[in-house]
Amino acid sequence: MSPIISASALSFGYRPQARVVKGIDLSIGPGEIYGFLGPNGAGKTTTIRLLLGLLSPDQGSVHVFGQAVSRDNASLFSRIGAMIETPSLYEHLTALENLEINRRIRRLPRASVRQVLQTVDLAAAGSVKVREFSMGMKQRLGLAIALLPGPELLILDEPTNGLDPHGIIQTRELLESLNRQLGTTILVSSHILAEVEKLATHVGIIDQGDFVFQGTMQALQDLRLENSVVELETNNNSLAATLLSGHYQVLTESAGTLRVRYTSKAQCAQICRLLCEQGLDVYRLNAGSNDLENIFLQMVKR
Amino acid sequence: MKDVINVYLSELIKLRRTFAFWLTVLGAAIIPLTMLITYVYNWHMFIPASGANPWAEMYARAFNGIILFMPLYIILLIGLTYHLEYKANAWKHLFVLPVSKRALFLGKYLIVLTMVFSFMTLFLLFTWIAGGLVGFYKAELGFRRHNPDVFTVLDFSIKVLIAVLAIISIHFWLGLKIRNLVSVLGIGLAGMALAILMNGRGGYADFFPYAYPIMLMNYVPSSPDAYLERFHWVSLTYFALFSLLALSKFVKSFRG
Repeated sequence: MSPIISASALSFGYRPQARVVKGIDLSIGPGEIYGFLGPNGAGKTTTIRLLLGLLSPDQGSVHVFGQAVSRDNASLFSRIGAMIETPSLYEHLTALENLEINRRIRRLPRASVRQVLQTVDLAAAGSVKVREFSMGMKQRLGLAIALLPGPELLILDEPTNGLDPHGIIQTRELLESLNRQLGTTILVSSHILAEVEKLATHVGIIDQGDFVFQGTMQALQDLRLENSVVELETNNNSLAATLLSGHYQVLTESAGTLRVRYTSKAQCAQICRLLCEQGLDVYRLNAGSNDLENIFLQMVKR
Repeated sequence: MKDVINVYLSELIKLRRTFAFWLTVLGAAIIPLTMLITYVYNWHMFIPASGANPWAEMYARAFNGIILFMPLYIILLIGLTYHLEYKANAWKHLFVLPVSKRALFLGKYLIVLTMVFSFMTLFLLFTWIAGGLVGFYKAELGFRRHNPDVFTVLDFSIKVLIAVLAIISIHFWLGLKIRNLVSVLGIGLAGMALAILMNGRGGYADFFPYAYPIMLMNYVPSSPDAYLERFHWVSLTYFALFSLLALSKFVKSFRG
């Protein structure tokens, strides 16, 4: 199946000497929820601007729905809903008027405005001026504008900025249901892994303009177990260390605790079995896995 | 074409409750209101000679006021029109809508031209209302016995609109290059100050856009065989040139 977004060897710099995006390749298939992660200033927003044709790449190419992204190909954007950085809202206008501007330009039926307001739970605030909105309400209205055309591809740059935990959960559930019910392909950027961890099917982690990880969410979760450590307490830690050192990397033996590196759940069970078979009493076995946030931080070297 | 109309209609929505909208309505009323107050308080100074049309003097005075005020209005209007988009961080969003950049440009440009045209129309209407009210207040001023000279009013309107086209196009182009509203206003005000110093038609002033409205000071209808003066033609040339420059900048390199 051909990808919805494909970018190859994409490079861009605001100045010739300083590349912000360094030859990245990206492919997002239909129905995927792609979590685009990276710390602030990693090049996420610039990449999104390149994908949407707001910037022209110095090198490489971008194709969306199999067509080269270009302002000359404006009809392509009828299939895309986007929110880039902060929502673009006219604060002197009401929520309905902000949506009406977009509806007119996109030539959509009038009913679509009320419908998206209900979707983002702002139906009661339709006639309120945006300047009276809280940060979270503005974010939701920005999301409503992106959802207005019923897009096949939704590109959201840090959509949960300014939302409270309830708002974050609501947004996640909304995106999940759009993906599940309508098959909407979603690219969602964030600098917080935990935000996209529960949502994304695929993840790309960018740092200093280059990908440090790209793959499925499962592949990223598998990394959790790599380099993880099990803490053991037995009736004879010295013997246990000797027994295990032939098969596993024993890190330290201190304060009555033995620390052994393992890379899969099965290995953890094997360690326990090996000790018990040798007649050792295992008082405590604490299998700690690397948490995703740590992996993310290690990847982006922060 | 349909895209341009839709963008134009969406631009109309954006104008609701804006300072630019109220500037157009209230700005057009300032000169007529001043005329009304002047005529009411000093009515004995304006009693016309026997058989003379009092509307001619009222409109002549109003015309002299509007040619000084109109460039200021235009500079502020265009600055505010751009400021609206910058303040809302809206350019990036507009550029991912399924319409061409050309349609976005034309929709916005047409709105500015519409506002300037509306400003002029409202000014003429408010002046006519002011004359009517003065006529009711003091019958001896003769406003109710005469009618305004439609030809003169139309002739002046066309001339002043042609004269300001250069300023409109230059400031529309400047708005794409300079994001700061105050800087653009500063350039406009400096241009107007220089124009006042240039003192009238002919010579270099014919090539200085901010001077064109002032050249219509103490306006007298021109003869039909030389309808437009040189500065009018230069203004039209500037308008064509800067409109194309602005379109080219907007379509090719403007990121907002």
